[in-house]
Amino acid sequence: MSEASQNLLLEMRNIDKSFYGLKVLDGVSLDLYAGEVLALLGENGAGKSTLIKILNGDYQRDAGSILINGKLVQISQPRDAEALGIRMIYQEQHYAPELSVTENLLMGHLPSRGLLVDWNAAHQKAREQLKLLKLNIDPTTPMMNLTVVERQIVEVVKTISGNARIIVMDEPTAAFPPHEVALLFESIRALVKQGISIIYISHRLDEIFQIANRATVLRDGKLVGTRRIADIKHSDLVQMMVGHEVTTGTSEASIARKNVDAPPVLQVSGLSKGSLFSDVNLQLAPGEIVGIFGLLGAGHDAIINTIFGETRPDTGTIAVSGKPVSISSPRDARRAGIGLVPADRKVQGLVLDMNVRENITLSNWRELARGGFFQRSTERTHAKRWIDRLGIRMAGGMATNLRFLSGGNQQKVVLARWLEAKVKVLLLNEPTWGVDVGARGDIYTQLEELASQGLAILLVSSDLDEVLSVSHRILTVYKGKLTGEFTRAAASRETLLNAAAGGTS
Amino acid sequence: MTETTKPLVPQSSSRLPRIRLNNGIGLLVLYVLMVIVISQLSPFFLGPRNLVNLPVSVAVIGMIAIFSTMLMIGGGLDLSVGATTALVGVAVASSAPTLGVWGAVAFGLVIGVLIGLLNGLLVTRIGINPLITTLGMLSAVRGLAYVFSEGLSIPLLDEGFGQLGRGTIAGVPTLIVAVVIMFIIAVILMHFTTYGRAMYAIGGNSRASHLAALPVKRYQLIAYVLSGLSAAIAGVFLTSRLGVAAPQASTGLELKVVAAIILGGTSLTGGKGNLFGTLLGVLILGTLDNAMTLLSVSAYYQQIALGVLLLLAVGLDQLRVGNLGRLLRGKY
Repeated sequence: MSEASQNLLLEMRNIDKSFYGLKVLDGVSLDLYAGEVLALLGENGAGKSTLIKILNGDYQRDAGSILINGKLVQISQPRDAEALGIRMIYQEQHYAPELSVTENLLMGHLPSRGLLVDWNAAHQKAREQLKLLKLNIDPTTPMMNLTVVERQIVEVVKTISGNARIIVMDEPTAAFPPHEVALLFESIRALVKQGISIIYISHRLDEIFQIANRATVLRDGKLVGTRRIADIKHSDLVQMMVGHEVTTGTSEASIARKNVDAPPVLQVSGLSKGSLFSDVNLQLAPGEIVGIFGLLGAGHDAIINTIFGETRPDTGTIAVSGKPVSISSPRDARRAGIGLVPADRKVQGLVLDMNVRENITLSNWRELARGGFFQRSTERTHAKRWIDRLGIRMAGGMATNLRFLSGGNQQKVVLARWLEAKVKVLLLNEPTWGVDVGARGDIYTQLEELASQGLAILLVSSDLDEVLSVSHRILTVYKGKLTGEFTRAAASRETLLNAAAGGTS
Repeated sequence: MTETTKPLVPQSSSRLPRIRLNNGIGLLVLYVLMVIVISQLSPFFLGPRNLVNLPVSVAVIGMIAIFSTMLMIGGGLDLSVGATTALVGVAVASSAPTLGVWGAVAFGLVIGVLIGLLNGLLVTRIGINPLITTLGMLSAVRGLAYVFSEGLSIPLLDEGFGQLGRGTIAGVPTLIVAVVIMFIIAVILMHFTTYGRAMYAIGGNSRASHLAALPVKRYQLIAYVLSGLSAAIAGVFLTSRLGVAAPQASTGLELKVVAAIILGGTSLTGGKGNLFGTLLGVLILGTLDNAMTLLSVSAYYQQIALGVLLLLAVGLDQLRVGNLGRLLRGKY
């Protein structure tokens, strides 16, 4: 055991925590050695966030103890955690987009000469700090011109100033396109070299295998175990997380079954919109799942937003079941039988203060209300049907506020809404961002099943594995143009990436 | 080695419902305490005359607050209600001789609807911020009231019309009956119909509501129209009760309406709130007003008290939705 020789930096022992009488952490322990990357894994609701919030002093534990360098410490508020060298990096970034990297980094501590800011010294200082994390960018660039990854690293740089010893990264790559993750990893390796320890939370297991030394797995508020990454297989880790074997993706048999000769339910011809995309032609047969793969900014999400009526195309036509339709708003889209599951479900998909039932039925009042008055029992029956069918899990029944559901379950609620509205075509934008592995497989299975019942699904994603595991047919987008079409059997990571990066196939 | 710490928040399962009731029950308790204290200070407070006067005096605010609550739950705001009340009063009183008194009432209601429509169109179609839109409308409408009345109070003494504001139905003042009816309509609308559900959804997340194919703009427009109409109805009743319409009537009414609504637990940012809370808010505000008058507090100090109360109410709102509130609830 190489860790045995290293310093044990942090110990969390037998942590208990309950909310509303519901035990969310039950005797959970976690060790962190100096200079290691520890992955903290588990499905949403497993207790990862609660454990981390206890470490950061956001929550108080009910029982258990925390030791740093073998000494018992009391963390009763975030300020205590900060004093102990504990830092949190969240998914959401807080920065001033118009200001330069230097200004964002040194905000409040800009070096000055007399009354004036000494910009040369400032930029120099910023450059040095960035170099520590291997980020080669010009510190005079405005923050908004950086990529998401670069911004995230700047955020890390900002956080580690001072006495940082432990950095917790909660889904740091959730908003990254997969190919940019490597940049963050380089920074993480640089941090570890400086003796800083990382607790890394992610749903993307391939990342864990690239960056982590060990993984601690939680399930249903209990510790399942801690393993050295070198000693464990991908599938074993998944099994630890979900408690049973998981199969993701479609079997080849179900692809063969697709009735691709059926008349298309959605036909898009010559669709163009300014500089976003041009001359997009695609069709979707009933029961078909088509994936559109592109790197971030390729315009693939603009295509489905336009089909849904969010923006008006400059040219092009859309036909549903052979009939041309004019769609200039989401209402028109629903009327035509098209639904959209947006990428950012909290901002665009859900009313977080309304309950599960109300969110599920939000787009289907015509059937649930007579003369504008809700038929309560009908509404409940309808909501219940989708809750059972999609396996939406929540603590307190269908009157639970959406706020209290896990990401995967929230996403299922958005899905349920469009199924309840009986759409024929479902557009999905990055359907599993921030959704944990178990729920992800679950959503794929649901999509499969819905397709087998005749729903046409058009899925836009920057996640190669996702596109490869769920689509029957894959289109690639590069700079707003469709650059390739592959059957799933013919597609591979290399061919897709190549086509999506503008290479000729 | 297990060291226990006292949890930040109580862990009983009764915590969730308690938070939800906090507003309603807390307000009710506050109100009862207020009544007890004031009745000790003034012997007239619980006298039969005052017990009739009090609800009548808050009825006008109540009528408007009910529909403003709906608007605010849907993420809107209407500050032009006080001015609309005055303009409608002036319009009714000045047109009664030519249109006949009931024709004049109809004319007044149409004016209220048009003002609401204009507010709604400016906010939803042109996209001007509701605060600015209705603040501008407040000034313009108040100005119109002075223009039409040439700055003078216009009497309107009509036996039948006077019954609206001063008469009774089965011993209950007509004014109270009207408020109760409006309240019931609003409760049905907000809690049993698709329209009410839509208002909660739109106020909670207008972007998601739009993407869920709700007619966000149209529904908000309707709420502005209802707000204008309710202000017009209030103007009619006020004119009937006083027998005279004055262009400066109901100055500052919008402030009282907003204060009552926020006090009642409706969020300034929309999506949350209910009509029962507003009713309590109106009663608390009115009782305070009434008590200060009974206790001979100068009108100037009454204004200060209203301002302080409004700030307290908004502070409470921040406490509910803001960081402090989240901290107290131990969530996020």
